[in-house]
Order: sequence, then structure tokens, then C-alpha cells
Amino acid sequence: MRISLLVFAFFLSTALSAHELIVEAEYSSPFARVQVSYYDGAEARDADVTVWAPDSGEDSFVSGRTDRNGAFAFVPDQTGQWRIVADDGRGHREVVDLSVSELAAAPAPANSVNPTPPVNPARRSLFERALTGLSVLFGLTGLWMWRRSRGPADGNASS
Amino acid sequence: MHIADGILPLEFCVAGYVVALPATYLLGGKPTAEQVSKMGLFAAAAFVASLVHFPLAGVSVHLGLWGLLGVVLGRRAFPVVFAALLFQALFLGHGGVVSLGVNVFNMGTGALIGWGLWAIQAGSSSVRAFGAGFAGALLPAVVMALEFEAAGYGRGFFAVAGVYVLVALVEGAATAMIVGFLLRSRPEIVGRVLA
Repeated sequence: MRISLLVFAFFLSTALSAHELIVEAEYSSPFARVQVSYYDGAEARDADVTVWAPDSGEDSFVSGRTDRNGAFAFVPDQTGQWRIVADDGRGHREVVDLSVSELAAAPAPANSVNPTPPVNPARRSLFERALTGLSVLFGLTGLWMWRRSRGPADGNASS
Repeated sequence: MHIADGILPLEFCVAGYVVALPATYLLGGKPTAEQVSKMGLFAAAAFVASLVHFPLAGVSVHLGLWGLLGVVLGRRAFPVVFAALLFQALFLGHGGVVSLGVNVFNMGTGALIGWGLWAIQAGSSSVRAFGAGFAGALLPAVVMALEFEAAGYGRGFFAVAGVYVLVALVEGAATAMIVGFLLRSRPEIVGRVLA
């Protein structure tokens, strides 16, 4: 029973982590795109996003909120390490650094903007994949146990 | 701490497999059905442990449980590390498949040092379990930093390993708590490894 509780606690703690923020940022000249989501794949709408330019001290470069898809974008004006902080206002906060190594030579035309946020579709099924992995692990363990338990009996039968 | 594909040179990844595969086979031995069940249970625990993130020193970290695996499973912790990391790479995208051998080597050594510290019959079980968890988390970070330095990334990763001192303290405390719980409720789970 206590072992069951221990295992349950593991799964519970995994479930609790589902609402941690995931911040993904990528630079595709001239835009830096930020995607804020939760571990279970849900978009973090209206999350506060604050961006600090490299070596900018305490003054932030830009701040705003994510859209309904959890997306945010800005245009870096210098190379270096940019710091992005996302906060959903409910106790979840995540910090990521974005490295910008080369700026655009000229502003890109407006129609080159890709409105699709950098959503990693694999994130959406994290729990499904975790559950699948656990199922396969336990299944293989069961098969192995069955094989181990059969082994000596087969050996006795053949001898 | 999971090294993704494309970070380390291919020869490092090959060398990792050359070490990890024979070690997995030799240290795994031929477990009984009961040992297999325990290996499967703790492989599942290690598999999901990487999903439990918590903020520490400005970064998001997670437990590995490598030291705990060493305490509970002994030398058979190494193949369990292999299984957990393989499933994490395949199902969760934590670490790469090409770099799996290196990751198994790094964290498998953590599990083995945990086993070694636990097996030393000196000090209380809590202290030994804490040491196993602490070393099981810190050693892989140090080995990883050495690998990155050897691969030409410089010594910057030792700073990352420095952060893992804090992680190792948490891991040590968690291991001591879990082992204490097991010793009170199911002492045979830990005790049979020592026998």
C-alpha cells in the first residue's frame, strides 16, 4: 500500500508540473518569435512577456502580452544574448535566453511575416507520450518477468 | 543534463555506446523475475522523474534519481539507467538517440557511485543515502563538463556543473527521504541489494 502511495506521489508530482510554463524563442531575421505554453500543451494567453536587450542593465527593451495563441514577437536591434521573461500572473514564470548572432541587412517586406507561432506540436502530447512510454516500459517488464519465470520451468521440463 | 544529438562529436557518441552497451549487458546479468519487476518499477520512476521540474538558482531543473537507483538496484541500476534514458529520448525528446551512449555512461556512473557509497558500511543509512543521491547527481554533471571541455567547448560547462551542486543537495535530500521511507515500509527492497 505504501509503495502504491509512493508511486502515486510520483505521478501526482508529474501532473503538478503540467502547469509549468514553457517558453520557446527563436530568431528568424528580422523577428524574434516567442511562444509561451504550458507543459500540457495549452497556450499561455495574455501572459506578461518582458524582453531585455544584451547588456541593457535594468531597463527592459520591450514588454507586452502574448496573444490568444500564446505568441509574442519583437524585432531585435543588436546581436547578443537577449533575455525573455514570461509570467502568466498565476505564479508561473520562466526565463529563457535568445542568442541573436546576425541582424537582418534590411527590413523584410510585411508579407514575409510568418504569423504561425513556433509551436512544437510534439509538446501537445507530452502526457500521452509519457503514458505511452510508461505503458511500454511496464509491458516489457511484464514480458521479461513472464519469460524469467517460465525459464526454469522449461529447463526442468526439457531435462 | 541530457545531451542532445548534434552537440558532441560523433566519435564521442560512438565511444559512449562502446562503453555503455557492454556495461549494460554485463552489469545487468540474469536477474530473477522479482528483480526484473523492481528494475521495471524504478525504470518507470526514473523515466517520469525528468518531467518533475522545479526552479532552482534561476534555472529549471529536475530530479534524476540516479543515486536512488544505485541504492535500490545495485549494479543493475546501470541497465535501468539505459532503459530510462532510452525511453526519455524516444518518448519525451530528453536527450538524443545518437548521444544516448554518452548519457548512459554519464548517469550510469552516477548510479554506480551511488551504489558504492551506499554499500560502504559506515555512517547511518540516512547519511549514506544522502551521499548516494548527492554524488549520483553531481558526478554526471562533472563528467559531462569534462566531456564538453574535451570536445572543445571550453571550461564554461563547469559553471553549469556548479549549479548542479545545488541540484545534488536536493537530490541527496530526496534520496535520503525515499530510502528512509523504503527502509521503514519495505526494507527488503533495499536490504536485498546489500545481501
